[in-house]
Amino acid sequence: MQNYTWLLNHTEDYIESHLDQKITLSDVAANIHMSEYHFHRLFRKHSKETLNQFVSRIKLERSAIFLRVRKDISITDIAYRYGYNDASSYNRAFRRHFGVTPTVFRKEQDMPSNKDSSNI
Amino acid sequence: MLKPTITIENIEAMRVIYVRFRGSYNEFRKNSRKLFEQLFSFAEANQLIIPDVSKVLTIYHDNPFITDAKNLRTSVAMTIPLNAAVTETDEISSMVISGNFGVGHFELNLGEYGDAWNYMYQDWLFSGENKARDAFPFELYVSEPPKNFKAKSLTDIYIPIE
Repeated sequence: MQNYTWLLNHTEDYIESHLDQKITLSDVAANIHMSEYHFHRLFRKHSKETLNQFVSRIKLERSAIFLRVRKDISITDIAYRYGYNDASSYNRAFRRHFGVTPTVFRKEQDMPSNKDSSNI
Repeated sequence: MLKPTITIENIEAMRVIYVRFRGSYNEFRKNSRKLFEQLFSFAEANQLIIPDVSKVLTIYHDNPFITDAKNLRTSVAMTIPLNAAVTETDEISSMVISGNFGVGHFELNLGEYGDAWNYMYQDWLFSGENKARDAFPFELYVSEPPKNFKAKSLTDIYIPIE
């Protein structure tokens, strides 16, 4: 079954397991045994983001949570943990996405964690 | 809300089938019954439900203070045997959850889930010795969730830790 939701689910799960690595079209296509051409065509048809933007956004948002909950880890180490070559490229990408540097973001008021749920 | 018992648990491999919702928590809540029904009907059709063993979860992949509402991902999931044969559909996928978790064992009514999550982060994780691990947290329904605001049920909240 190779529809878009299925592709998206498995691509997100792949990113989840490879947060510390560079992730390419070839990686995510191989993960679901789909040709790069077919993957790219499906993704481009349905997504408002390019694959690179999608991967980068998920990683940056995950790193933002981690910046707040693990203040004992340096920005440089966090950059490596999310597959960036160095702190400056991470800083640039982070600032582009959130409008502030990781250092400023980390110092802002603690993130409330008011997960609310009442599901069934 | 009663103070929970907290245990540390290492999950070697917990396989789940899931339906993933993308959108705000309000939209998720409006759709959650339908999502669970979709999950249950798939599980029934594929004979994946094991009475008293199968557990149902809600997984929170993103933080609403960081991720735009339209991109928030929430999954409803059900545990299945590791070796179960599953033919995935477009909507229903499977994955394996593993790692260390701090687990809060709560007895909650419908209005107390937010307090329970706050307790796990503010009163337990950020106030103690354990360090957060970069993985998603989830809630697991030990007994069937309450149908109204008076009833209580047993819910475990799993916070990933190193």
